[in-house]
Amino acid sequence: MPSTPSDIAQTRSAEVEDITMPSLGADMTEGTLTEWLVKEGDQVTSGDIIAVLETQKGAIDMEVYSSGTIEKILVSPVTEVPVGTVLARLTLVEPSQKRTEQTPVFSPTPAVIVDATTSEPPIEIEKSIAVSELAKVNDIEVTDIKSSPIVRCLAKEQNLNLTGIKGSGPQGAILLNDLSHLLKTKKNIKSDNHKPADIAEQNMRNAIAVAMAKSKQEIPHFYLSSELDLTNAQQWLQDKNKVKAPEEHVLLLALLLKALANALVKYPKLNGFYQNAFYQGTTFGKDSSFEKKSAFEQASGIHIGNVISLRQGGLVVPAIHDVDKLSVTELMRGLRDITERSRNGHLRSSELIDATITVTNMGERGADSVFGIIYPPQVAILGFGKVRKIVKIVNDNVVIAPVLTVSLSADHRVIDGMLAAKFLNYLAKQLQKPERL
Amino acid sequence: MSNTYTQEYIQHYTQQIILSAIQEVAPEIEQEDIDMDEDIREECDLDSMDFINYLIALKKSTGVSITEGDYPQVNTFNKMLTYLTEKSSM
Repeated sequence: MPSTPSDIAQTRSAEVEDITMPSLGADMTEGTLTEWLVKEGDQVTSGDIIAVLETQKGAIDMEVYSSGTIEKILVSPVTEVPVGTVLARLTLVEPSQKRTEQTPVFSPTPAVIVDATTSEPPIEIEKSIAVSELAKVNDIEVTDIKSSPIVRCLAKEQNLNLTGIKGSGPQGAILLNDLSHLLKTKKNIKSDNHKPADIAEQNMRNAIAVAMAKSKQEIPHFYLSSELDLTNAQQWLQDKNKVKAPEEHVLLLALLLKALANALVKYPKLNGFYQNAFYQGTTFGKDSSFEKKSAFEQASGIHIGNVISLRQGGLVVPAIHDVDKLSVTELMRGLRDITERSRNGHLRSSELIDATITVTNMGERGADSVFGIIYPPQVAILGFGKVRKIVKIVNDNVVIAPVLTVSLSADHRVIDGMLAAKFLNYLAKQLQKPERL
Repeated sequence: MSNTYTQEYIQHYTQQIILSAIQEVAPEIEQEDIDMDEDIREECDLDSMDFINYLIALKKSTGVSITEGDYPQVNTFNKMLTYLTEKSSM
């Protein structure tokens, strides 16, 4: 009997889970384990910080996504390993809870697609590449070399032999991460007269190239922009900040993110993931067949990823969680906190993988507008340009108004132009009454 | 004579405090990278979030709380030095 997704869910409740070097962004190919904060035999709870990693993005606090006992530590500090390398093994305390706990990226209640004609248990949607290392499917027999499109493309291009590589994707499919070791070896051979720093930077550039090319090739992007009048918002900020101590100072970005979160509550189609899902086949009188298709899954929380440029080059995209539930002051505190930790280390691994939408902010010295590339499996990225002054006609009077261009890159498989336009208009409207944000 | 000595000492000490506050947000910056009379944000490539974190670091080390209204008085290294020296001698 062929294994079905519901069987998989059961077999997956195996006792032991691998803890791997996480991928903390499209551009990360390897990381260095610098310190274990746990030892063999220690009890851990989902969300605990168990190790410190050094990456191209600085020091990261690595969390565990399941509860259990550290069974075996396989990599000792200080060692650099490719993304996906097994660092330790965890014996799970409650295997049945594993799935929801280990994938904080997605809604606590996984979306289900059920064939109404059967009474089969609901089938959980398979997770995408971005979190595939967290949702390993080791128990499935690999009958033929399954691999992601980008891997097939790379293999062809670079003449790589995929036989024997253990895939970490759905049904053991070989993902880009699984190749990182191979790619690295190949590259080292080619350029062993280069300095290590060059190689690290080249690895990062290569990973960005692959991820962004994949996004642009697979996602039918479309773009809209709108001019936000900031007269009220800036006046409100000025009044609020005039006598406030620096730790209570609120920046425009906090207002923009809050307005965005409100708009996402109203238009939730922009907040979620477009990714592979298993649909149960509808053929009658045969074994249930499963077809892999992609579908949009709305995220349960609004976790906004903020693009932060690092001083040493490169960027990180840490998320602020549940922005719709934060006050502007709390949101500002969150922004300061992630900015500070991006500079000085101690970003948490979950913060770098669980964003449901991304914002890139050009800041005051940037460009007038920016149209981003969507970070899959997200379906939208917003860009805020710099604030500039324009001449405007208001009630037949010429006035000078501060404005900012907000742009939206959206996935047309999920979002239509009219919805996107309504979303931007709602966002703009939110900013006209900053005191109500 | 001793008064001058104390003032020089305070000046030097405050300078160190400002530099270490800057280094909290921009760890790679050294004293010689900074033109003392140019806009500190330009000199150290600080965005508005960095600038606030710099002011918070200064508040932690000096107790002086700088509000937005006073930003024009602290926008260069030397102006900040004067501002903090005056505040601490009050």
